[in-house]
Amino acid sequence: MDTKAEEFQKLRSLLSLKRHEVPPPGYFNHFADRVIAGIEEMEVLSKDSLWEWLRSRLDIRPLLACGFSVALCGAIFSGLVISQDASFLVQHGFSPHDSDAGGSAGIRVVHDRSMASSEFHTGSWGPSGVSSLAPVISSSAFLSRFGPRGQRAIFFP
Amino acid sequence: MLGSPQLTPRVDDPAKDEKALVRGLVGKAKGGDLSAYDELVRRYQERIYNTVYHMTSNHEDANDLAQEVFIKAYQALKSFKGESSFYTWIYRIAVNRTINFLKQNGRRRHLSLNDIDSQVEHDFFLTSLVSSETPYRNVKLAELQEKLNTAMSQLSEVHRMVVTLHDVQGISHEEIGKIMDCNVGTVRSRLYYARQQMQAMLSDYLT
Repeated sequence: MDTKAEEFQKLRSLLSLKRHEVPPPGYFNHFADRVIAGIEEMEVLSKDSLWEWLRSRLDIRPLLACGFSVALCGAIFSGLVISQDASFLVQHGFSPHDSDAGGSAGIRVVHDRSMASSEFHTGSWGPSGVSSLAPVISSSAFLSRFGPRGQRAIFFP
Repeated sequence: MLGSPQLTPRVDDPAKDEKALVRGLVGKAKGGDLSAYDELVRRYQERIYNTVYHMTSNHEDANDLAQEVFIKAYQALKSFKGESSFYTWIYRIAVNRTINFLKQNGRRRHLSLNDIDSQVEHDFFLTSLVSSETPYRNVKLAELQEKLNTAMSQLSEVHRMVVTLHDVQGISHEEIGKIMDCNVGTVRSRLYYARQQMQAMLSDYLT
């Protein structure tokens, strides 16, 4: 279609008028500055919008944070209770290794800890140590302190 | 000659130098160097502004769009892989943004034309079209300018773009194909159709 270029020669000459249309004097002197300012503004806005997003997320966080802190307090309290129980056993000479004398992980039902610890020390359960199949059952001291629900299972690996 | 380096005369290729320079600036701008990007903007601002202006025939729209194009280009610079030249890439952004703008706002727009520079006095064809009497020349030129811009605005966006890029800005068919993401045959056929349309609309000035 370039062969038909002559057909449109006058039109192209007329279109050359467009090349003479110019923006106001000095327009391009600060064009780049305006672009750079626009870029910096956009960067600030994007940072601001990120901050806004974070804040909006935090607005609904208190519920989650509250739930999390309640769960955390519960875990800490449970940990304290368990550690107190463990220290009670240790104070009375109970050692987790003693319970494993049967050679396998076991479950021992302990009702009277003071009695159980004295039996461990005296070796009254026999020379082979404590059998996991022979639970120590006593009631008096423990029941008097915790009642019938004081019976608990102690797990040892 | 063994052991001695073969010296070839160094031929400076301005086009290669320019490409290397632009590549360096693009690399720096990608790393967040705004002064490098400032340099790139200064290199292409007139061409991008003029393209948008000739498409919109409105200085305010062209100003906003041209700035937006450069800002968007900076934000998208990380996606620029260098498969095409930076010039082609930024032109593509300008073309797409302008066409989208015209499709969204085409019906509600009005002309806001720039002034014609004094260099037009040296254009024999244009001066022959208008009265030779000085007091009327500018009026006639302004009228011709308005007719021309109105005729261009009657074209579809893609046809207007081809005319703008080729007949006003002098970009080759091949380059336009790359910019508009179409083949050269499409560019030629669009150009032919657009010229026919304009010829019919401006017949008063072309006989």
